Amino acid sequence: MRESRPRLRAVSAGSVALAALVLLALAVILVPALAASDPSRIDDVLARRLVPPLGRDAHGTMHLLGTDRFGRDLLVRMMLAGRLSLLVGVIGAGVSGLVGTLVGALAGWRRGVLDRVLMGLADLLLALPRIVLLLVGVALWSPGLTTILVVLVATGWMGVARLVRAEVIAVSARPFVTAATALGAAPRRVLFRHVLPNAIGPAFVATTLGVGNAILLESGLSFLGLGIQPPAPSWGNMIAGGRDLLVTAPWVALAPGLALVATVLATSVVGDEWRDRTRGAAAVRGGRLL
Amino acid sequence: MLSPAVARSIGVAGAVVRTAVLYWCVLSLTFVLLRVAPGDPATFLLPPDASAADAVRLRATLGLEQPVTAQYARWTRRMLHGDLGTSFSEGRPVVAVLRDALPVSLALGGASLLLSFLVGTTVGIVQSARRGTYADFTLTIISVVLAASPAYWLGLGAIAVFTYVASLLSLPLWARLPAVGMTTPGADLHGLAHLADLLRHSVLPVTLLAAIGAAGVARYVRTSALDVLDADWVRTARAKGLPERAVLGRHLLANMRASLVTLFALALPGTVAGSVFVETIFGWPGMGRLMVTSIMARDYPVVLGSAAVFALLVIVANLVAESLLPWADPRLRG
Repeated sequence: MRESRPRLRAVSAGSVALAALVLLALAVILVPALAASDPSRIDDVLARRLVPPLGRDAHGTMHLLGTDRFGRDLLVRMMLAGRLSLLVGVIGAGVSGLVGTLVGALAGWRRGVLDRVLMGLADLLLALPRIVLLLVGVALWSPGLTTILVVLVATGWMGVARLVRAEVIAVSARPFVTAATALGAAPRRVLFRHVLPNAIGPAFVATTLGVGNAILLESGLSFLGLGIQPPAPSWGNMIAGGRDLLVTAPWVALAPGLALVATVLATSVVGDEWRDRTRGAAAVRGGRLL
Repeated sequence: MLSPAVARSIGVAGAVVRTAVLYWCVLSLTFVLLRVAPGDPATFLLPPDASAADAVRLRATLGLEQPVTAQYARWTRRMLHGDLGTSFSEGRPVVAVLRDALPVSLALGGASLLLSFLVGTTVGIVQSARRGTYADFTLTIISVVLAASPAYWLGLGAIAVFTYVASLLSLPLWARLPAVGMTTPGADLHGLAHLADLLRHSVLPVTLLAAIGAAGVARYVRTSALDVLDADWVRTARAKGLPERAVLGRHLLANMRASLVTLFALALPGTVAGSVFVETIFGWPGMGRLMVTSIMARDYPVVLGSAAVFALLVIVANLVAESLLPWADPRLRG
């Protein structure tokens, strides 16, 4: 064990972060659904625009986080943007993880030429910074949700593939795999029922840690105007919308930024704790550590 | 048997060849990407106001009627001559456009990378030496939050604080930092005055990029330092009465050289990603901003040219790190 002194905290940071994420997921589903007004409708701009947090507009409606320059309620828009961010993060990282697991399992199980080709492809994509690949992707296809997801998956599977490949090779050498093969199990069954379940732990952790990264990348592209296009709200394009209001209405850029940081932080804390908890188990069975 | 020195040179030469092949594949990827993108490459490569006749002419020049293999051979020949095409928006060769932008990014990224390594390594080692204390806890929180924060958002915050708020509170002039550009526009400064102006403009972008980088470096260094400090021979060093400073300064650092070399190669893509946003926010005419503006302008030759330069940077950094590893860790000398 790494910790030199026992943990005294009864609640781990990981469970707090997980609770926060669950709460956020509920909020992004419920808040826009229960909102009194349509979050993208613009009406009576002069009466409603740039109301500070906790303030009331000229119609007497209270806005918990204030309004933007078009008089739209920031909380509702932020939660609507949160739907998109969480969706992009979970699907982007999840599908990347799935593709990476399949590629890594295939490469580690079959070895030979296939292994060399697949890992060569991974090296190739890893030679370009991910943001550069993303930018090239949105440059060649039209910006939007589908493009972002496709490009996130295309540029996100390599890390997991390498991890799973290494694990599969390590697990394949262990006696129970030989035993399963000797008992006449088909190679596919050995791979999916015996090897992969013992090799997939690090892939789950890496995928969890990838969620925050995917959310950050999506918001970055949207901030640059190359991702989710307004009027659809994304945390990135909401921050971009508050860029020239930093002095007069700082809350417009502050609120979505805080939501973004809190979400990415929570996913990385959950991922870190998961890794730390499985690290001991992995070390015991001699697997490669993350 | 080969002497170790010869074997090592062969190893390095092999790494260089492998790197060159890899880089060629990356460049070919840009060729492939333009062709798998929906639509005719000619329409991508033409400015929006081009006529149908222009398209026909370009298709002939590009040899798009020829078979793909012939096109690839032609493209290869041009690449080997260092011809990356002509920028649509500027009408200049892409190579010239890149030559203007690259030094800006190298200066910004280099300074930030250096700072982030100095600060991050120090912080990480202090944390590992004071493991479990409040100082360790606080620094961990700071670095985790920084690592989760988007550079552009922190940049906007920094601009708000150091320009508007600073002048609002009528803070002294040194605390009010310029937010945009590398130099004061219109000011015809020379020598030291020019340098001072440049430095003032660098404070915010470099600090921001370095802070984000340092957060990552500190987390990594703390983890690998703890791995080293848990080793048996550290206990031996302490047991024989070696002062803690010697344990950290000699034993720990010597054993972390390899980790730091690896981290350097790992940190470079992060710096590139950060510089895309930092250059955009602070209006620095570097590679990152060039890439964003050329995407906005649909200037594909420049987009692909900058991607090629970024890939070259990362690949060379990996090659350097790989060749330095045997120096950093004698256990890796085969």
